[in-house]
Amino acid sequence: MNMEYVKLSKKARACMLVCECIGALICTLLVGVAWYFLRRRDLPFHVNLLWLAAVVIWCVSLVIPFVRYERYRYRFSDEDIDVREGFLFLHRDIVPIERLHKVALESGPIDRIFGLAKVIVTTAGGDVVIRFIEEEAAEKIVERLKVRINQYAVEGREQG
Amino acid sequence: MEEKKKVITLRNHFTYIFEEMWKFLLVIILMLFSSEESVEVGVKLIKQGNVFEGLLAMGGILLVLLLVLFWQINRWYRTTITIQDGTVTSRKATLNRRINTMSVANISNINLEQNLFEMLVGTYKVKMDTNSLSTADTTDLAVVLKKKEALKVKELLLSMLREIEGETEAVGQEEKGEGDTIHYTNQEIFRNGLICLSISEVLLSFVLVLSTIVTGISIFQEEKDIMVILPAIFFQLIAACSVIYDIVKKWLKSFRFKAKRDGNKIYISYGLLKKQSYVVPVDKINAVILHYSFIGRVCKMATVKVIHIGGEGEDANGRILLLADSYQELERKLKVLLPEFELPDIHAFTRPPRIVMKFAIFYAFVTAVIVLVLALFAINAIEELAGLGFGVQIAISIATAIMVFAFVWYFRYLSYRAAGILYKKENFVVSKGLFSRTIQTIPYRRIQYIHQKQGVLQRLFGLKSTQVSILANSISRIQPIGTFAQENFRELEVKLKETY
Repeated sequence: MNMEYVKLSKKARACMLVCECIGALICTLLVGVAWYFLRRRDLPFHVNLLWLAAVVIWCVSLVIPFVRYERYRYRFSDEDIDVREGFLFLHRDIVPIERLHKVALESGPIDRIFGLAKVIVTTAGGDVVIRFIEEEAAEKIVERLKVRINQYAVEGREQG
Repeated sequence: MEEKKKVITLRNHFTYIFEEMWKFLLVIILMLFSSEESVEVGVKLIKQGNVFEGLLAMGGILLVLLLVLFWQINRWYRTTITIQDGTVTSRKATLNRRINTMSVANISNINLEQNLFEMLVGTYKVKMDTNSLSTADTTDLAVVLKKKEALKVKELLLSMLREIEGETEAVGQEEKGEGDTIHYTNQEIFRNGLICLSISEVLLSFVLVLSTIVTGISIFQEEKDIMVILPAIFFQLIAACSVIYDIVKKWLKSFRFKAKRDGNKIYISYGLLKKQSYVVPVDKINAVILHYSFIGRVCKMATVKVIHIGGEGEDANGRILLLADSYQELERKLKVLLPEFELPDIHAFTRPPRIVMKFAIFYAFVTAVIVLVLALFAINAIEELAGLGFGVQIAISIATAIMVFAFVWYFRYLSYRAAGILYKKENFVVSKGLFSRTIQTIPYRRIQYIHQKQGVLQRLFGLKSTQVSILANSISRIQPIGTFAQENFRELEVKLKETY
């Protein structure tokens, strides 16, 4: 298994960008609806300033994928899984493989367009998701994890 | 209980129907009393032989009652639990058919419970909690049986569990001597109720008592008609008495509290109006909590709770193991019940760095600025206030922002004072709280995963927030540790690694 941190493929960045753009588009629509209903009302600020919010949302949405892509790292060792990610807040999850109960592979419609998938590992205390992994790599990870979980189960039974 | 070739089929005692229906019956009776006319018309129609029309004339209430009664009887009859070949199967065949089968090996707790109604009719609720968290909603079972049957079923399941676990003990706690049982006197139980009061309860009662006194004085001073204000004073006093009610409730709940260690299990029983008896398997304990309530912190007294799979409802964030006592007493009693865990030294914690408080000031300042802007907008939006001069508007907004700043800072300060972490050989100890203080001891081997978070400012100041996940109910599953210097968490990673 990999001992070094692995960076995501370039496809992941494109996928993140599409996801962010969809989010920004929805926000822009909401801003448009708010502008339409508020334009004739007396407000303490100019109603067109609402569009400034939409511009900010688009700017942030276009920056997020590049920063997030640069920061996203994961590492599968023989004993644990280590995932680092984030934009403003950096998140890190450390999951001992011994504690895993279930491993799942999932891919949404946008993931499938880019040939990506997410690996969801379930412990008794909750789930940890490793996103934007190439499908083939994700399948290999799941297979390896399954073998490892079984090994731990057998060892556990033998130890009583 | 039908017993044929080791197949035991259980069905809830028939009184379970009334137990399930009593709230509904109460609503029906209230509705009937509130519509006397339609009842009279209905009774007349029924007397004339038009039963259906009569029921409809009563607003259909009785018809609904009959339908619900039929539904409950049907559900009661079609719900069974079968114990066979080391498995427990629950069958519910009403509109939706649901059959759940689980292995007896997966049962973590078999508890007996008895509420006031069950006490009157002489039944017990046998509750089976499973080890699994993800399937707990569908696999945790409860069945209401007559006392004799309930005890028999509990003993049967316990013996099956012992057989699976390879234990040789043949008798349960009830048949063994009292030995090292932890008992409490009525006085100690009453003291526990007092110590466990929350700060909000105490403050609310204090405010209500104060307002009652002020109202009373104003009556005498202004010579108002006492009869007009009397009901208000009466209700304020009743509300103020909620503290007394709460103490009594806690005393009744913890009445005859008894805890006993027997082998790998701790047997706990308590309660007067609602009798509870449950078993805590020691190897299923995921965390031990030392809880100091606000009054407890003043009186230097704490309670001990345990987090394990099986706790639900008000027990979800820890089941009581020891009632309020001094640290030394708790230490002594814990050595009897749970020598595997030792109470941490509450003065040996690694504290968050001072920069955390500066960070809190910044956070409070940002919150206050946001409140200031929002307050300005809100004043303009409220017609009565919009006419005020700009200077007054600014003054009101600044005053609100200062208050918010003070509150946010003070709460962060309280949280900072209570925060601490401690690395022991096998356990990770976390201290947190505001007015109360909770000290949790989590074995490293029970940590499921670690989640760390670092914001922009935290990175700048070398801080990190961490939470650990443990096997527990949704309320207790994620245990936030708080914000500390990032190097303080390296040992946690190392200690966790040592366990796998």
